[in-house]
Amino acid sequence: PAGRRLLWGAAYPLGEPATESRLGLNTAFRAASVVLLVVVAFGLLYRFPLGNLDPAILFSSYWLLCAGLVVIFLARDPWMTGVGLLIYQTGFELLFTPVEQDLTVAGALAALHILVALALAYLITSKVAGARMGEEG
Amino acid sequence: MSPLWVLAVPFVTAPLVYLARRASRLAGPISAAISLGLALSALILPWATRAELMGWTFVFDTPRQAVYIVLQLGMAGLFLYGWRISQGWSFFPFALMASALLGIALTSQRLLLSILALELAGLLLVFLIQSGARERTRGALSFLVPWFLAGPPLVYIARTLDQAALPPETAPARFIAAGLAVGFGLWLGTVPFQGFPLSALEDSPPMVSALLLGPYRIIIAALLVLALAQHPWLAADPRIAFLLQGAGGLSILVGGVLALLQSSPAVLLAYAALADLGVVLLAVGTGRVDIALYQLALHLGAVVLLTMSWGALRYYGALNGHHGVAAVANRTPWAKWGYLLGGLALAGVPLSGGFISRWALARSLAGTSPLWGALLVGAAAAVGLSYLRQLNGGGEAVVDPPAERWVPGLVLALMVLNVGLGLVPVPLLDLARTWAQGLGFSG
Repeated sequence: PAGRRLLWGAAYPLGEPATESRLGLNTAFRAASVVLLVVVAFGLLYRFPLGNLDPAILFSSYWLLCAGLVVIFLARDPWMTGVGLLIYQTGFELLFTPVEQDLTVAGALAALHILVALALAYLITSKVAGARMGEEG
Repeated sequence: MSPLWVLAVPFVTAPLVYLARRASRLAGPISAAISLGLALSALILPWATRAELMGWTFVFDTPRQAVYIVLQLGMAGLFLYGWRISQGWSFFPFALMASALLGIALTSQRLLLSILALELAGLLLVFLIQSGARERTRGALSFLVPWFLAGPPLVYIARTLDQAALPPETAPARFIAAGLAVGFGLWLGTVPFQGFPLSALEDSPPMVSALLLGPYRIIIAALLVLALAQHPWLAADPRIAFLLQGAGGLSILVGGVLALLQSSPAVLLAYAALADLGVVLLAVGTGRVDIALYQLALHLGAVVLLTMSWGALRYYGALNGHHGVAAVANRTPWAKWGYLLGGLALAGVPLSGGFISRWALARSLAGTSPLWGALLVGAAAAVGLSYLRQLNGGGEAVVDPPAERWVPGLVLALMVLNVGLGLVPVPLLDLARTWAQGLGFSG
């Protein structure tokens, strides 16, 4: 991911090999999760066809919401939790933007997106800085 | 003149306070003066009006006015305390910005804007919880995740509620009832989500804990009441009443039982506040909105007194090389008594204001089951005992606490307020009844 190329991964978490999966999950588990997410997203699409939304948009939205939740629940650090939260929020915005087209609401959602990214960046930086200070003695 | 400017002032001044954030001698008094000025303006200005801004309607009526004044007075207290005992550099500007967002959430007519403003305010709290600490991010993360997850469903439900009045038996109505229960439950940290705020309270500075348990919870609970007032079918829906009573009763039970098992002041505070919040939810679920509003005002007073005293004990303890509450309590009697009084007020023991609301609620519920009364009394006793136990034992402080007048003065003023509300509850009860009637509730 781009984050690792920008050396976030190299700096955080310290002591963990950059090549190893951060979630510590094997490929079979990931594949099973993907299949399960597709099934759940289809189930939600069938059970909750919200408003007059295009089924393709609704499916994508449910898929992202579920994927975000899975990543959040499996994450152990601010970096992966942040990725999960942003996926979750993107899924919701995909669903909500066609429904509510008020500019103030769009602005508030954008502000939410930026603020959560800033908060996560702050937490990641705090953790990295703390780990570095610990390493330096 | 439109009272809209009252909402705008903290937004405009927060960046200026941010520039002065490293000089708490400047940022603290400015922030406190802004909050006090806003409380005074809200008291003086006529609030029986509505205002439009960018197509959104803001309602300024008596119940909202009362909650806004209580909110700003509470914020002023937190700022005055933060001026003398540091709560982190970012405390003043971020808390000021949060108070502006809480004001918008309170006065917006549409629930959608209120929820969005609250979600943004919650994200600001993440910075305050972390407050410059290195490495340890557990508290801020454990607050951020449930807060953020609850936002989107609540936003969608708020929009649906704003669009149309739904008949109670339709599928969307059931979906709305369940979504509101989960969303507000997560934000308020009620049972079964009581574990979420624990780490945040353990890791955050005392005034940030006060902000989370005081102003934030008050505005969320007030929004819940306002949503019920705006949508009478929600208030009349037995599922909502059942959910509120269930969450309230379980919060009282779990808060009381778990408080007995705690030795950490932060965790004890979380469970004591949970039990107290349970009383508010039970009152709303029973239709006694007047008791709920009265209890909310008391909740803020008790939480602020408790956290200020706890913060002072912790601060002086840390200054003297101790970390336990009891270790320094004997050298700072005002903080010791403030801590104890705050704890007992939060517990709702006899002679405190919380006892009046518990008594009134037990009488209202006596016809349903006598177990409610036993639950209320048992939880109050458990929380009260836990606080009495906290101040037992401990060593001696090595160095005397620094000469300080502001913090003891604040704690003493809050002690007088809490005792006064317990001994003379009628004026506040009458006010709460007027506010409830203003919202269309009979209680």
